[in-house]
Amino acid sequence: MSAAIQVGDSLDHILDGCVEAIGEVLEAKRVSIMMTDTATGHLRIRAAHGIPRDVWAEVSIAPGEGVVGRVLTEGMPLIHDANGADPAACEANPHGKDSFASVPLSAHERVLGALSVSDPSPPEKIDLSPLLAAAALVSLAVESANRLASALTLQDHLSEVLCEMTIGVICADQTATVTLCNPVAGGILEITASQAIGHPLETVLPRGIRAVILSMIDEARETRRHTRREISLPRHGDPATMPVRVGAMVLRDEADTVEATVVVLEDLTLGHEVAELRRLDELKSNFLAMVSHELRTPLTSIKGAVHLLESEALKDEPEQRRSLHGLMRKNTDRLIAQINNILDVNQLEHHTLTLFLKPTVIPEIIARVLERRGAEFQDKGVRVEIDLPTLPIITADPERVEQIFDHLLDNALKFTPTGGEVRVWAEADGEQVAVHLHDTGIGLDPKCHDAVFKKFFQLEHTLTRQAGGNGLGLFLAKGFAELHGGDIQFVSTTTVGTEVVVTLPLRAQGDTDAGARDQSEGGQEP
Amino acid sequence: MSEKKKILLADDEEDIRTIVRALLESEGHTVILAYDGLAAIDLARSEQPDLILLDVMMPVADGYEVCTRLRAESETKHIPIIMLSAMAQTDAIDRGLSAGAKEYITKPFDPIRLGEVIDRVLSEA
Repeated sequence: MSAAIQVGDSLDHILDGCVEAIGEVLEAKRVSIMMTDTATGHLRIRAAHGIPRDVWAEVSIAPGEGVVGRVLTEGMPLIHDANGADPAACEANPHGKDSFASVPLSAHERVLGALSVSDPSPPEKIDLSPLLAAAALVSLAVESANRLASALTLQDHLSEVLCEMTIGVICADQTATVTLCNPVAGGILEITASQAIGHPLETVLPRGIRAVILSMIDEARETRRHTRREISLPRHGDPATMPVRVGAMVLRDEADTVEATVVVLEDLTLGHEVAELRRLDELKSNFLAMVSHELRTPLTSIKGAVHLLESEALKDEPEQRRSLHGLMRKNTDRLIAQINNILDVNQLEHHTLTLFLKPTVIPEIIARVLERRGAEFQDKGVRVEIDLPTLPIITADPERVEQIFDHLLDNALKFTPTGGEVRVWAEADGEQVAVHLHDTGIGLDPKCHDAVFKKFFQLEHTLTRQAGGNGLGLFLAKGFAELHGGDIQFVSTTTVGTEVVVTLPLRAQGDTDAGARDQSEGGQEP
Repeated sequence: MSEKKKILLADDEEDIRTIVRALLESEGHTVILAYDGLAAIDLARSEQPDLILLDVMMPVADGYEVCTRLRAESETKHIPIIMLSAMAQTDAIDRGLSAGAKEYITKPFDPIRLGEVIDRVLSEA
């Protein structure tokens, strides 16, 4: 009878085989397997030998009813002796008027049903052992089939869950053939489930990341641990890559053989964007705090000076009063400059800054800046050497160009100690003018050559905070230069100090519509 | 009204030092100047002022660090500290008071109010 129980056959098929085999071996006229109907709780015929199929549907035995019903409730074998039995009761019984033996089918001490075999022998002569043995096998078959059905249902449920997940999952079996690929995984790998399932896992992975993921699987197999890594996944028709977190794990059965491989894929784009937004938000808060500080400081000096001048304190001190007037003038200008800087920063960032282009003579502009700042350089004891050849007149916004050199010279002065020197020279070719500024100051770490142009860069670096200043100058200078189609770069220098180069084209690219430059770079029409 | 006291003023801005010094001297106090945090700590130890006016945004060591250090050292913890700063947000003020400052005055300040606060802190000492 064991031969009748093939794994994978449907339970009904198996039970059919069982009743046939039992009928043959025990030479019984009728054999029936009855199982509890989950809906009604009654016993129904699942398989029978010697009982016509059209009778099966009519059989519905309540627990405790008749012989078989009692086998169900008592869990004990019972023998029905047709001789002397109530004929009416026999009608309901599919075994008809025969004597029969009925044994329970049970698993885990739960009675699932009954196996009944007709036997004309007198009750005391009936040997139950072959029946009990058969019942045990049938119970096993039923139990296995039920377990299998539960497992398959569970598998279906899990598949549904996996398909709904917001994380990509790919499973492959022991031959590395894909068995599952949920929609999110498909989206990340740019394939459909049908293109993946049944195919080797290798072929399903895009070339760019195949080697990495396969090595992660190897590692997971060898170390018996989940491996996890962040990778950049190239995308079709998109220059940007997708940041993806990949996890690989290898599942083993009880014999420790590898049964399946699972690769989990998570699109980190959104996470990265959120992190970036948080960072920008914090930068903005810091910026506002700094701006507020930069405006309050000169106001403090002005307010204090006004108070002193209004009070009697300095009525006999004309020198001090004069110097306070100078202090107020200086701080008022500083305040105006700071406010303008802040507005310029805002305009630059919103691409609304307009250039007013005119013929611009660079040496004249630099001379103007030095005239204004000359006293500061003198007071600090820093020499300025200007070595400018005749330069072509360029088309630019003279006011902004003046601001560029003002910021750069201010910077140079801040970082150059007493006794130092700032040198300015330039050269031109057919396309552009390049002005060099070199100071003998504390120098700039080459790693910071780009970062230094960020707003308030200074404040994050204590070394530069020693020199004071507002931290917006370099940001603005570079912004103005770029708006002209030029650039500012710090260059590495073999001598002590810092060298910065301003390049401006002979003809500024920025039009009266400042947005035009950005648009043309993006390939759109203004 | 107030006695002549020795006040240490720490601020990295020259003009602020000029103004606040003039204001304090007009009240009859003696003023010692510090240009940064480290100088402030050194001068506090050596000069033993009656009061310290401390800016927050200073290079090398900021006002919070200086305040915490001075309040921790036996030589200086008896000296009351008033913070004077353009950092006016609530958390900046809380931080200053937590560091041990007796008062936190935001810039720009009303010079009369500064005088009143200084007098009060000095009289409580």
